Amino acid sequence: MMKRDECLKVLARHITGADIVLPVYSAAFDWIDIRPHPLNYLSHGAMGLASSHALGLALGRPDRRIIVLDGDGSLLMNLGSLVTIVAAAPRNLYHLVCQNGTYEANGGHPIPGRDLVDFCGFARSAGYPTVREFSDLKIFEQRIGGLLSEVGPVFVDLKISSSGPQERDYSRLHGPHVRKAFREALAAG
Amino acid sequence: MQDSMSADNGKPDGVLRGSSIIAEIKASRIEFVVSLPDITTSEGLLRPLSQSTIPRLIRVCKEDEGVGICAGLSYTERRSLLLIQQTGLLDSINAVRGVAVEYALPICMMVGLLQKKNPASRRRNRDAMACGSSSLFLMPWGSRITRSKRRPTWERSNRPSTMPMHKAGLWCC
Repeated sequence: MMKRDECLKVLARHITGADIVLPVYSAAFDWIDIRPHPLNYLSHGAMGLASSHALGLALGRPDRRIIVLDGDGSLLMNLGSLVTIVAAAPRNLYHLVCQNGTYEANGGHPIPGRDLVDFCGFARSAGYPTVREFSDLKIFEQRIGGLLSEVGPVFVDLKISSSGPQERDYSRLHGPHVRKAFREALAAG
Repeated sequence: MQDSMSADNGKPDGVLRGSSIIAEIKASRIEFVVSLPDITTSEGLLRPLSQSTIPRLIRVCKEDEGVGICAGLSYTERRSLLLIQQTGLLDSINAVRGVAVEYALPICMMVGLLQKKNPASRRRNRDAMACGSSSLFLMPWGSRITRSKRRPTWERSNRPSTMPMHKAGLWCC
């Protein structure tokens, strides 16, 4: 098991200035402290839709890598997106799921079937050509760079534990200034 | 639902055809159609769209996925159309609210209305979608599908829009 913030710090070292990153909920609050950047796409509007936003971005900007940091509870709300993504076959989409088994941002209640659910199994069955699972930080550190250079869509399940208490100021995710900054940064490049 | 385009295939004037809509979709520079099948638009719109490469058809498993995909595309300045049925619109209300409305994104939905013979039932369907007959043909980017009287307002709009369609309006398809 990896602490989420430690895992995301490792990931951040492999993110370039051209990459678009879509983190959700608790991962988003960790991420914007670890790697504040206008190309963080933070306003998803409805739980579960990050992977769908990511697909839209991937189709619209095939010149950039799109990295979605999904949650396990979030992905359970939009499992069909796995199938949709594979069918659309974006070569630049990297779908990472932070699996902690809980709805952390909503009181820490367990997701249904937390000890049974197999996200990599979902992804394989949906047809993702590359599927990996990590629970050891050192191995993740060794492999993530290579995975981010593979042809997408790539699916990665990160077995993580919480980073600890967070100050959740949702205006940092949903404020209009966030979207304006993203739009301008994307249009600039 | 009517437009001013001329009849073809022996169909009377004033009937909106799938071919007319597709022509306007292309004229509106829509590059992606994101869709779940809808019986109202299945043959006239979705079938021919699925057989062409422009616009590209993205098939989704659930309509709210489509809201997210269209949102992502909107940031890249690529135009998309969400082609769904009314039940899918109603099922996607939280996504429409949270993504399209709250963020004021130019997400265009073309929604097939199930044909209901009972006028009261038809009215309830429209009411459920907050869509009275006076607001029927909204579409961003000023497509000629919209009623010309209100077109200037819609052309200026970058707000999300819905465009419900009656099966009766597509009987030529």
